[in-house]
Amino acid sequence: MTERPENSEDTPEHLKRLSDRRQLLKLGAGGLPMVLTLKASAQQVVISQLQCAFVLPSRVRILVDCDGRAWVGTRRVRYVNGKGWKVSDIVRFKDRANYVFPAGTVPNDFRPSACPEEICDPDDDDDDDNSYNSSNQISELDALLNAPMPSNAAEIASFAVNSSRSDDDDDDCDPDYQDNGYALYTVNKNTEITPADYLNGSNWDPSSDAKGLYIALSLTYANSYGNQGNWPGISCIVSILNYLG
Amino acid sequence: MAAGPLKETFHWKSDASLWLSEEFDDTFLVFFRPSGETHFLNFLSFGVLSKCSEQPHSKEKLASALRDLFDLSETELPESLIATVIEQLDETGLLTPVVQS
Repeated sequence: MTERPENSEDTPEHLKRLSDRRQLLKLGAGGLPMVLTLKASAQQVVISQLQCAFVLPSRVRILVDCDGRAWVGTRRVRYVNGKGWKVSDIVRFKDRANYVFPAGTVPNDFRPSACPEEICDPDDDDDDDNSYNSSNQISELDALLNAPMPSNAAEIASFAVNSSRSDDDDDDCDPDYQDNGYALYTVNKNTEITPADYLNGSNWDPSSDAKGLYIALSLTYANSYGNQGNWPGISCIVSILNYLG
Repeated sequence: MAAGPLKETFHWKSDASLWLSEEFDDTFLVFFRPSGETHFLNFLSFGVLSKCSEQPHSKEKLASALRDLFDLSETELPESLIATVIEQLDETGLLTPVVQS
């Protein structure tokens, strides 16, 4: 048994070990077996499910609006100090998002702290002729997420692509920058995520960082599609959900 | 293994001559001679085993000693978790109860 060596309490190794041990204790409180016997048993399958981790194959950016919608993609969204988000980047990010989650998906902790009463959205067109307004967008997204699971999550992405408006009408509301109303989170390529880090006992407790948001969206995805599709890490998430029952 | 439910008054002991252990990065492989089985123990379950091989301990004493040893608070290491570990070690035979008179 490794005890605390003298004068090592502040070393990174000691702090890491202490953190790992605390996490293990949380899992123990949630039912993780503390003793395993070296033989084939269901218990050993269970422990591997709970301790799974995954690595993101590419950078993931998550754009969140005030209503808790989320767009997941890879494109850059620029924020200029003193001006705000570059609106064209936001529009392009939404149009080319790989995954879209409807209003109410993102927990409050991750939503932008500053929300304008009315967002000036150049995508918003008051005309009814083939326009693509935000209310239609949400109902369609709701329908999408409530629909039977597509054979491949690319269909979700294609929804996002196909749903972009096709007309180029300009309206009076076309600012270059918008200083609030969105929050952007980035999870870097090759980031390893261990979902059990966000478990407190048998309850999910995503902290307010980008990985926590990724976990929160993964849970929503899993509730709709289970283990299907190409959402990175979904099989790991689903295995834990199965374990938790 | 203890017959019947675990009693609060039980003390627990382990005969260290009956097992061999090897550590791998905070995980311990413990070979238990009587059963011929090998068990994976984490730092906590091995901590319980080690303490009980020194002398019989009650659940409360174990919790207190291990909090000190591992620099953990009462919230982080509740007695209920120690009780769970004792139960699991009891099932393997690595721990045996000592009824205090």
